[in-house]
Amino acid sequence: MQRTRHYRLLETPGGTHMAYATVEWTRDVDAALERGRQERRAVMLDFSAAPA
Amino acid sequence: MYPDPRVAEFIMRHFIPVKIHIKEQPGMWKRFSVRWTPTILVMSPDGEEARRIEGFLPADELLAQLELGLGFVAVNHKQWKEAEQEFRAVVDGHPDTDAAPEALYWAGVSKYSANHDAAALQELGQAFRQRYTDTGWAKRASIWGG
Repeated sequence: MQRTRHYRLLETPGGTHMAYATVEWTRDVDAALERGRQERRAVMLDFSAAPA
Repeated sequence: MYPDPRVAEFIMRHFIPVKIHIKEQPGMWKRFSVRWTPTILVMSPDGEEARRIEGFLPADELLAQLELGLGFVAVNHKQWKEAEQEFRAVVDGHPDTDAAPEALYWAGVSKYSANHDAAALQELGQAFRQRYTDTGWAKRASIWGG
């Protein structure tokens, strides 16, 4: 898993909070699908041919 | 890469994100019948495909499509109220995107599916007579609310 998480301050009517500025990707499809099943979260599979 | 921080924020808040590169995991392309890049698959928690997004999209369109995908996740689980809310959020939050008329259509379908009240479909047909009139989704809804 890439650990390149960065944050930024997001101003909202409810105040200021930390927000993700980059995506923290995993490469393990089956582990992500299993985690999605356990946590009842949707999984986003992003297929790319672009240079990493 | 998603340079628009709104996209990254939305992805991290709503999905477990997986990056699959053709050279690293060629078998995954066949497994999920991917035929072009970029392709994004929104998968339900049970592993069922809920939405397929093929080709590049500008940030606003992509955000709308991802939110549309969350609506279809709810549809897959017959969570009609949640589905309607997700679809209406697309219409309200991204009204000028290509996803908006599709979201409006499915919001109406979800509302109908919740209790099978035909009035929801009549409302849907009438809504498409006021907006998104030149879209294929208006044609689909033209059978209602005449």
